[in-house]
Amino acid sequence: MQAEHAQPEYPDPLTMLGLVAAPSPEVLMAARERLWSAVAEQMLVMRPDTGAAEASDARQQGMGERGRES
Amino acid sequence: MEAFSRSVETDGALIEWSVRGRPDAFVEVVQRHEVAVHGFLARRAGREVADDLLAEVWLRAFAARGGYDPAHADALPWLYGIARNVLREHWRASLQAAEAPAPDVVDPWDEVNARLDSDARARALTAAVRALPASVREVLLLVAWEQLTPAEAADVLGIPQGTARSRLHRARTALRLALGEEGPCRPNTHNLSTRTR
Repeated sequence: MQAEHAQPEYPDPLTMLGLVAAPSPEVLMAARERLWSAVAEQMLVMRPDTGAAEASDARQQGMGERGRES
Repeated sequence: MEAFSRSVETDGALIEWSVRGRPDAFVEVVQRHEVAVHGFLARRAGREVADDLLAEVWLRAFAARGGYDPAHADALPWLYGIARNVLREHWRASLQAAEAPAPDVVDPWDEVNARLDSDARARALTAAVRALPASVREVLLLVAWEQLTPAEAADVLGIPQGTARSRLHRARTALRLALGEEGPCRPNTHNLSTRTR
């Protein structure tokens, strides 16, 4: 009886040279957490109504306003 | 804030969401490709370096997402391109510390040698691949290791698709000549330029 999916007689050796072990979940999580920090930082400067980023220029504008007040 | 459907959106749509007020959508893209990108790094620089550089790839991709064309449904080639740049900078810094010239391509062979066992076939294949010009080898490995199409490999490397196809053809021809089409070391090069995604 034939297998449903034919397997190659031997693995492609070039592909075999590129085999590496899967990363540990902890490594993936740690990298994602660093990304989340950047994401959260950006979300903090967004307007909740439109989602548009006020970004640093708005903060700079605010600093300018305060400068004029003094 | 609108909701996005994580399971059905393309990478391109999620990245567009992330630019237009939902930066958290970008994390879904990362979760889809994190194992593949880590593998890309590990194949070329080893597992420890891959562990160290993975977060840098995500941060750079997140910062650069505004330039991503959302018409490209699959972000993986784009992420490989960023990972390649991160690797090059990592090696440049390492080589500068050793006062050696910086490489202009990503060369994984020190790492491959470290992975090899005493299998003579693997060593013969490694020698043949290593003898390829670096720019040719890079296209070959993107297709063979990362399972990219030649067009996707061209995107990663920032070269015309025709150039990538030409380099892949050169690689296949050179490997056949070096190893013999019917020899025990014959790599499966027939399918390298025919896969479509």
